[in-house]
Amino acid sequence: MIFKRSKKLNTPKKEKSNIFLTVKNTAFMFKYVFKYTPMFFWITVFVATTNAVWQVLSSIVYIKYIFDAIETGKAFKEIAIVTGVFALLIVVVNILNKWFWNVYIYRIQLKLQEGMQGELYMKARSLDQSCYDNPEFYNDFVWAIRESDGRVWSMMIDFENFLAGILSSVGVLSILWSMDKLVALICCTVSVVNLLFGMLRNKINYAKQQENQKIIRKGDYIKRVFYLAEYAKEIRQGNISEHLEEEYTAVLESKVSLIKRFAKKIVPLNVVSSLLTNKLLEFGVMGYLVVQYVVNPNVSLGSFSVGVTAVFNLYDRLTSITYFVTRFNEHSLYVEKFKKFLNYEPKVVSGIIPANDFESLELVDVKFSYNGEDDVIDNVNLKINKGEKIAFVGYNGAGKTTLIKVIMRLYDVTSGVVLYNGTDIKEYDLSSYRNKIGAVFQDHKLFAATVAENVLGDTVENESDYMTAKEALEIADFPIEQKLKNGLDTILTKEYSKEGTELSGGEQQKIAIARVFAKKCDLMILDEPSSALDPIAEYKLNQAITEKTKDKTVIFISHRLSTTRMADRIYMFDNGKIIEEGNHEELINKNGKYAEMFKIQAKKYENEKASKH
Amino acid sequence: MTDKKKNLRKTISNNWFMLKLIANFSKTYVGIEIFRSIAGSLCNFFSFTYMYKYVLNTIQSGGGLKDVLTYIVTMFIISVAYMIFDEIAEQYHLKKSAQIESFLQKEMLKKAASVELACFDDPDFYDAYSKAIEQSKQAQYIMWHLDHGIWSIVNVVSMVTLIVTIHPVFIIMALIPFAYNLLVGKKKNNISFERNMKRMETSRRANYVRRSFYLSDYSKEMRLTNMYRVMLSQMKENIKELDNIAKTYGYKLMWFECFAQFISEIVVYCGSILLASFLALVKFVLPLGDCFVVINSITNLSGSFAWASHTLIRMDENSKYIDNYRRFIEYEIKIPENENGLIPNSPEVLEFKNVSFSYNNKKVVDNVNICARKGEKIAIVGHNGAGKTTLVKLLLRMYDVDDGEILLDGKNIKDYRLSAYRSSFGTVFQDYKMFSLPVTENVLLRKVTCDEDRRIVEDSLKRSDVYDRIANTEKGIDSILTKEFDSHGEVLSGGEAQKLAFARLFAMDPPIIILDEPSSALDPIAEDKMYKNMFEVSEGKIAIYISHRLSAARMADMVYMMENGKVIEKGTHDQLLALNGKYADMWHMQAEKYVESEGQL
Repeated sequence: MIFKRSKKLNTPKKEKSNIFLTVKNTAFMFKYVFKYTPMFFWITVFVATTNAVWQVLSSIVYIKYIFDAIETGKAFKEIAIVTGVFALLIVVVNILNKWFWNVYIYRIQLKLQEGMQGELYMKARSLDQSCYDNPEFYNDFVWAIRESDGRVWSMMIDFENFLAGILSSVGVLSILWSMDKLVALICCTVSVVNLLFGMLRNKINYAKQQENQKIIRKGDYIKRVFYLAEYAKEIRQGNISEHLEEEYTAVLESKVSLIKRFAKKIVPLNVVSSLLTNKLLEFGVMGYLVVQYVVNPNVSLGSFSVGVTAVFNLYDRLTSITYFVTRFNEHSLYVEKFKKFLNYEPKVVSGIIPANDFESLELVDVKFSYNGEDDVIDNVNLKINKGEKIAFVGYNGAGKTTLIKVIMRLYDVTSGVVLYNGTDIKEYDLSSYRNKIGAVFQDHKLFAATVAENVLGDTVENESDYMTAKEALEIADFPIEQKLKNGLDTILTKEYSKEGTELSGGEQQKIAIARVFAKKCDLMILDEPSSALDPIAEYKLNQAITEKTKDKTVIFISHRLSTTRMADRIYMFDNGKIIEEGNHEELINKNGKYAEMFKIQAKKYENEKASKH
Repeated sequence: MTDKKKNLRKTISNNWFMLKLIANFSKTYVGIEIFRSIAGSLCNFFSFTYMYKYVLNTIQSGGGLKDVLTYIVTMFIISVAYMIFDEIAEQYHLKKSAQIESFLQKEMLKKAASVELACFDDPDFYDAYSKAIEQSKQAQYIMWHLDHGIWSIVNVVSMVTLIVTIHPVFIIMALIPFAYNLLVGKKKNNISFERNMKRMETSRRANYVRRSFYLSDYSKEMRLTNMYRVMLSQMKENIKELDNIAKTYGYKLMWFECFAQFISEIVVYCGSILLASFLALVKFVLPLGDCFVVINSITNLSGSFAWASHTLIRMDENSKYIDNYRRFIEYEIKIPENENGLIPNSPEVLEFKNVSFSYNNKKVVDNVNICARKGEKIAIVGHNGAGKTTLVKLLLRMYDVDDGEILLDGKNIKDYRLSAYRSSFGTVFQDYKMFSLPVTENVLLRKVTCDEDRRIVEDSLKRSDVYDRIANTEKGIDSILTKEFDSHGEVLSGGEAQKLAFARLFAMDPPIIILDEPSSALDPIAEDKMYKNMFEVSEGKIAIYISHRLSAARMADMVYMMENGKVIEKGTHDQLLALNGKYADMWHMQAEKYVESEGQL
């Protein structure tokens, strides 16, 4: 699968050449622009047209008039009046442009962002958890979201420039054509030649970039190792730093050899293309125009001057169109990924029945595998009734956490069925079902939001929400007074605000636990809730949990078998299967894997007994 | 004003520093680049601006077509020759700048590996330092600025010369935008700087909101709670703020830009046209070619003035990058190598004597006394944040003590040669790291030089019980770890990586062993194997364990219980239980449930 991915990275060239697709994708994106900012399109067309007309007017019509006037000796007064009118137009055109680029486009882009982001983010939330396990999809998805603002922004800008470029090219070309057909023809031909060379150059540069990227990645990795604090200790041991420096030298050598290798292609290409385009126009056309000016009495200084200006003008514009074509190809590539993301159909779909309070949870022949690989959950059967305390134990990677995810419908079973109060969980309305279960995961994450919001997992609406959050924090034994400067409104992490409060691992874990209590549900799932705590804090927390969950149903995952042994029923997992089940005594008497595991842990405390007696 | 002067001096000194560095690296490179800009600028001048003047004036004064065509052909040949030279020089420049970047970078890497760890905790220093490494490329942009500076100066000089010969009044015209820029340019820059700053702050927040929607770390909470509502309202707030910024600053900047444009297009351009036609039509002093040249190049000339004046601003920007680099490279290391220091020779005793250490003005180690002898296993236990890990960092001289001393065989550890001292330690940290290198190099922490090395690696992997896992991979012990830049790289699980970290110790066989026990969840079987490894590797050595759970402490020869940076209890496990203090409390809490069950068995 990984191999496929890297292959794909090397072939966007093929997708690139499809003009039809580019047009389609650009249109798709503009539909969005229309949806959220209907006026943008028309205003842009207006600005672009004005600019194109102005270009022709100022760089050709006015200039021709001036030189002809000087050559033929017209009255100075007339020139002054024309120039005055010209200056007035400058004022109008400039105000329009500066408003468009400094104010309008920023604000309109924000409006678009607001609409698009809202839509994109909600879409992101509806994606299946399994999307995160598929690196190919995930990379595209991240790219689609991360690039969205900037990409739409540059599409808007490119659109205006492209439009103005085309319109003024047409204007300049028609004027040049009316003056000298040969020059107009040469100019167009040269532009086409330039376009072809440009494509060739892009191809070579792309290949060079591809190779260079691999080299740079290695160099960047070495740099990172040296400056990231987490590697600092290792770097100071052994001779690894010298070794990495040598690797860095190797990076340079491959960079230099890459440059040399490509120079052999790039230099001749650039020389030939420059001869056939720039130099041909600069000197060839110049020579031709000079000869025309001297030989042909019909050619005035104005015409000569317009010839010179128009040739370069047209050439620049036509060349820039090439640039925009590649730009829009790039945008199209982006839109492809964007569409793929938008068109993704979530596999975990919501049912319609609202979930009732918890009575029972039953797993029947449940199997689950990630992307059709080996079964991570292999034929699990179990039933949990209201009020029971259940423990899942087993080796690392035995599938316990995955099972929790299946129960929470972050993933759907591959086969078998999960029954909540006797009904398949797929039948329930997703959010109402999830709301009935409080789960804390090993890898919980806090948001850069207030403590109250973090605990509630929602916006704070009223005073009673504060109370709920506060009670939950107290149960989790979180030191509210010591740690929170602004009480429950304290903002967590420094991501959002520099005044934010950073919490230690143990404190973060307590907030995650408080979330479960704030939810006030009857079924609670705790996955290694105390792993970041020291023994005393762990002990206190366990006491609190035991006390507060007396009348609740709890599923507990832990490696500390001392904390799970109080459970009504223990399920021992190995390779996705339940290999043993029963209460602590039953399992000890059975003398199987659980007993072995328990003894290994207990052994370390064994002579405590001896010393006591 | 003095600040300004200081800043200017700094800008010049920094840029000069970098230029000297580059010149020392390759004088030919600097020479070629300077020649390239001068020749390029002149070539450009003679094949455009001057060519028109020459051509038109020659024709107007009745000169022959032959002269004109000769000029055009000559310039064509020169210009093509220059173009070829320029293309080759460009490739040479790419090569040289890659070499220079690598040279600067390596200097920094060397420095990074030798600064004391405290630097990583100082946010200011760290910020400058990570920027220096990330942006070393910008530091060498001095060459780019030099090129463009020279180019535009030559351009300005040749154009001014030309236009002065036509009519000096046009120079004054061309200088108006420059004067306007001097007057209001700074104000405008400040406004746009302010806007960018405000925008950056809000964008940072917006980026965070976005990340929270796509990072897998947040994915579960996003789906299981209504946190998305909080994040969406944050997004709306950000957009509102950004819109306010766009409105307030956008209109201000718009007028600044409008006026600048009016000046260059109306005052300079239209003004020159009027002036030129006046001189040609009313005064009859301006030939047609000159008229053409003035009108076509006046905007260009005033642009060149502006561009040349910007060079200083750009160099100022550049100076900041260079400053980061200099600050870092010239930083005086507080824990130096000490070339003439002692070399440890089979150490026997390691001792903390009244050691204190403060971190951020908070005492984290407070008058600690610990003694460890060869063949002894010392355990240090206590709550999270009691100062245990800091002790290890002091021991390894990642930091130096504030008070007291650490002695190795009776000599202060500061008297030893740093690298030799550190290599007598073998350490497994809580947060051990794997490098994207072959397994062999990850174990040896150096290059493999002979078959003996490979044997050591295999042997160590076997002893730490991870050999089978590695040998089963396609390339065995030559497999690259992590997928960082090899998609076939091996990714080890937490437990496996830890075993590999132990293999490092078996391979090194150092006289002193330090183990910082991981607090993350290992299943009981994996944990048991880890303890086995711990004891095996520390046989016959000075061994110090940092333990968060107490099970390992029981097997140590001496236990130190720490709280708030102090050693509060000390003794063997049995002694401490008999003492019935905090250690005993902690022990009973952990043992309680196991012990009950022992009774039932």
